Amino acid sequence: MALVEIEDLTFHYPGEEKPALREVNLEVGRGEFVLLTGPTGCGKTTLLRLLNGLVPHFHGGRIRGRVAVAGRDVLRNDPRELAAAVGMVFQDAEGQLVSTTVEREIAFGMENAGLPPQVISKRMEEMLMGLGLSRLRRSFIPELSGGEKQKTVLASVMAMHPSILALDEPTSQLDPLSAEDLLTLVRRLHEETGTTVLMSEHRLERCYHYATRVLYLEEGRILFDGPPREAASWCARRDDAFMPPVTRVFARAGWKELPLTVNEGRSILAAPAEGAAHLTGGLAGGVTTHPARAGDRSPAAGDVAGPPSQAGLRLRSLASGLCGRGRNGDGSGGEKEKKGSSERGLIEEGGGGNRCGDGEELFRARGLWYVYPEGPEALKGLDLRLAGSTGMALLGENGAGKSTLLRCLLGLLSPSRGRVTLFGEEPSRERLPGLASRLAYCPQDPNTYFVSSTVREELLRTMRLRGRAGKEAEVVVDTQLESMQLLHLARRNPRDLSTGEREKVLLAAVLLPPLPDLLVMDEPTRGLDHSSKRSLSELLRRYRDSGGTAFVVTHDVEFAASLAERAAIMGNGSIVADGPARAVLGDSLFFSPQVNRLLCGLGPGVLREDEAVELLGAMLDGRE
Amino acid sequence: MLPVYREKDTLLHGLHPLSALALAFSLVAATLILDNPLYTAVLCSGVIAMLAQAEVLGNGKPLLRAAAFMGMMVALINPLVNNAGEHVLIYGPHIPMWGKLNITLEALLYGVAAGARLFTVVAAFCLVALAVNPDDLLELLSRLSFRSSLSAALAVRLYPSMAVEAREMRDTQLARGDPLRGGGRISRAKAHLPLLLSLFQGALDRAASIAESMSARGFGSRGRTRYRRRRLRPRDLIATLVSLGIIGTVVTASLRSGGYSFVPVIANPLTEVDWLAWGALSAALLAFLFICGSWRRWHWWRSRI
Repeated sequence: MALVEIEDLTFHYPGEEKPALREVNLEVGRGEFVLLTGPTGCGKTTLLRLLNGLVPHFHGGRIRGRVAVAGRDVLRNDPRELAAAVGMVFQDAEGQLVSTTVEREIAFGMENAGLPPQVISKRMEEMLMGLGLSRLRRSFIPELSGGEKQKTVLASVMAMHPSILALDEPTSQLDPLSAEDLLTLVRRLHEETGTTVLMSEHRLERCYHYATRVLYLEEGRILFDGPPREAASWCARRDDAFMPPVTRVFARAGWKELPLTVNEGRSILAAPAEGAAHLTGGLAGGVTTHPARAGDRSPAAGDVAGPPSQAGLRLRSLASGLCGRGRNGDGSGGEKEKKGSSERGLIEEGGGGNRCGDGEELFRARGLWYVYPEGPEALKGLDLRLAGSTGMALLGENGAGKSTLLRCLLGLLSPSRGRVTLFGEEPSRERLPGLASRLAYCPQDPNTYFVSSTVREELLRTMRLRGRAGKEAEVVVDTQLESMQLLHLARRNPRDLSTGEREKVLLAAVLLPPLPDLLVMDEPTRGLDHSSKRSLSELLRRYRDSGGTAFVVTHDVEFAASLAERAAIMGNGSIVADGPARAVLGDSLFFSPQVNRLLCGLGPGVLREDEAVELLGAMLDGRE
Repeated sequence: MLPVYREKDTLLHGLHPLSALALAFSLVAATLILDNPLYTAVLCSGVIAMLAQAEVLGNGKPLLRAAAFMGMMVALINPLVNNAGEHVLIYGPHIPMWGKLNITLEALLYGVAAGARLFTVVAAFCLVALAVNPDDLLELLSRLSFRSSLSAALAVRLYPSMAVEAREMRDTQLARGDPLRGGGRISRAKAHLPLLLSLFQGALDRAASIAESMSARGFGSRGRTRYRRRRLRPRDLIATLVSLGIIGTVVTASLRSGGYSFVPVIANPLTEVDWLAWGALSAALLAFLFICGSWRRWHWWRSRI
């Protein structure tokens, strides 16, 4: 008997005419690992909340159809009764923790289930040990990192021994290493305990290959249900982006065989094929291979010598093109030309701002130290200079000091030692508001920017703060909303929008004219799906083309690679690597995008998907 | 930002919440009942020394500063509203409906003593707040009312998150070009109002998420059990004996020497004090502080209690 049975289910949220789920039929057996994919708002979250009865019992709404989980009718049993069968982990760890310490949090669900204290104690030790939380047992929850908080929630849920684990984008608020850690843990729980897992996730490259089954949802309907490899082929046929980057580049380049992991991709490239000798000959002759990794990780970059074929020559020219690319070396120039006039708004026009000239110093930190009161040394003699106009990404793990550096650069913290200049002056809290026309800051959480009740009012407030009001300001705001395709959201409360929409509104506000010289962004891709990231990346590219400088603090290597010409890696309070993005990111094991890991040794620091598609296309031509 | 509890390796942090509460209660009771300044001096010094032993003096600075300010206000306001006492220091004007605004030495010293007692009481609460794990404390209180203690636990947990959000909101608005200040207090409050509303909206959203998460983990089911992790240990017996000692001193001192009087003339604290009770109180506090200090240094002692 199936563990989850859904028949002809249609669900409407209260007051909504459009159903969140429509005519859904689904059966999930014991021990399956089901991955839910699809664009934002497609119904993944609603489907997961249906499993433990939060939909409809907690959220209300109209429902039609039948849902049974572990033999229980969900419509007749409320979440309290289903809690022991279905464990649920939500997106935001902060919004689901109840207690003040890890130990009490883990006990919370078990106490609610009425388990005897001896059983609670046993399971407590099991969870603390199994999930690596023993050293945090008595830690104060607000002081834990995002990853540790999410692990605590997972432990609390798993301690109830549910037969189904439902995870709703559990890594969307985490840095890559914490995300990897959590997903590995979920995989281990699935493999070692046989727990049925249903998970929705944006970082497909980290979990697609774990899944035994992939569901693709669109507008509340399940459009595809099958194994991951078939799902990838199905998405490729639809030219859909919901697959891992490595799969996507193979699909876009026209390969029939689609890998799900970097390893599989490299095996496909290494497999002998007609023309392969010529191809590798071409590579050996024309492409500068990665010095550190070409030998040991690149079976395709062989030692086969020989006269270069046509494909080899094309590859060689591609490679030299990649090497010689300047600030717009993202292969998007042609694409950009195709953009319609509706996409070309105030940003391209320069917004009437005073653009800073190339090479003009925007900020500089010299020998910067910062020590928190009763805390660690967050910055240790850091040096960093940014001159316009460019795009720079700053990467580093949690606690590396990125946020402290940002706060020092903006003048929100006074350095313990060393000197900071912003636009040639020492920054401070008092001076910061006066810099609003030259500097735009996008915080990690867009909600901290929003203080008005509608999107339009929010943009008008920005205009007012920049000294422009009245009819003229309204016209500018409406033009901006239209050019960024946000007009339909103008009357909505910005806090009620999806993560991607909020990020877009935030950018629309900060990029109002006069366009700032420097755009500082803190983790702009947190919680965004692939298409939202793509449109964000496109917007930033247009801003940079208009002469602006973007300084992005991010964990998202793929995003950094798509955007920045320069990249720096921060660790232990100082900059450990700084240089052209191709050199810094192309020379890393973990701070490199998946396509770079796939093609290392085959191309000179391939960072962007478009470059990888071009290269793979040429390789496919060579095979044919 | 208000201080929050942090786990530390001290004897006071290792006490069972019941014995920690008993100790704090005895200190508060003694401070409120014994009005001779000599007792107040011993109790105030004892509580500050305990805060130091628990390594929470730094963390509790904002609370202690606020308590010191309140104490000073009491000391300053009391002579203005109370003109009892024979030693008039300043002859003030006659105020209609009030009478003569005289400032007397007795009222001034009474105000200082009352301020010091207020400070001691707040410092004792600070000791409970910063050295007793709030979860343990709330678990203890949950036997009386689980829902109230859960609400209190949520407030303790969410306060730091809200404080961080408020700071980030302020910083973001500064960077946006809003100086968040105006000419006077009203304009400053007006500038902060949208932020406050936004913060409340965020808090409501978070409350809804937490409620959903609690439902998903079976909150509200019948037959809830309790996971207890704190056990009573010899150190709790010691703390309880010290608490009983303090209460015993209070009773003895009250019975033997009666109350201390500030009016009409200040009684001599040295002659009015019951030296036996004073000595017992000082000895109890010193002994406990010695145990706290030696617990950290001597492994043998630590392992025994």
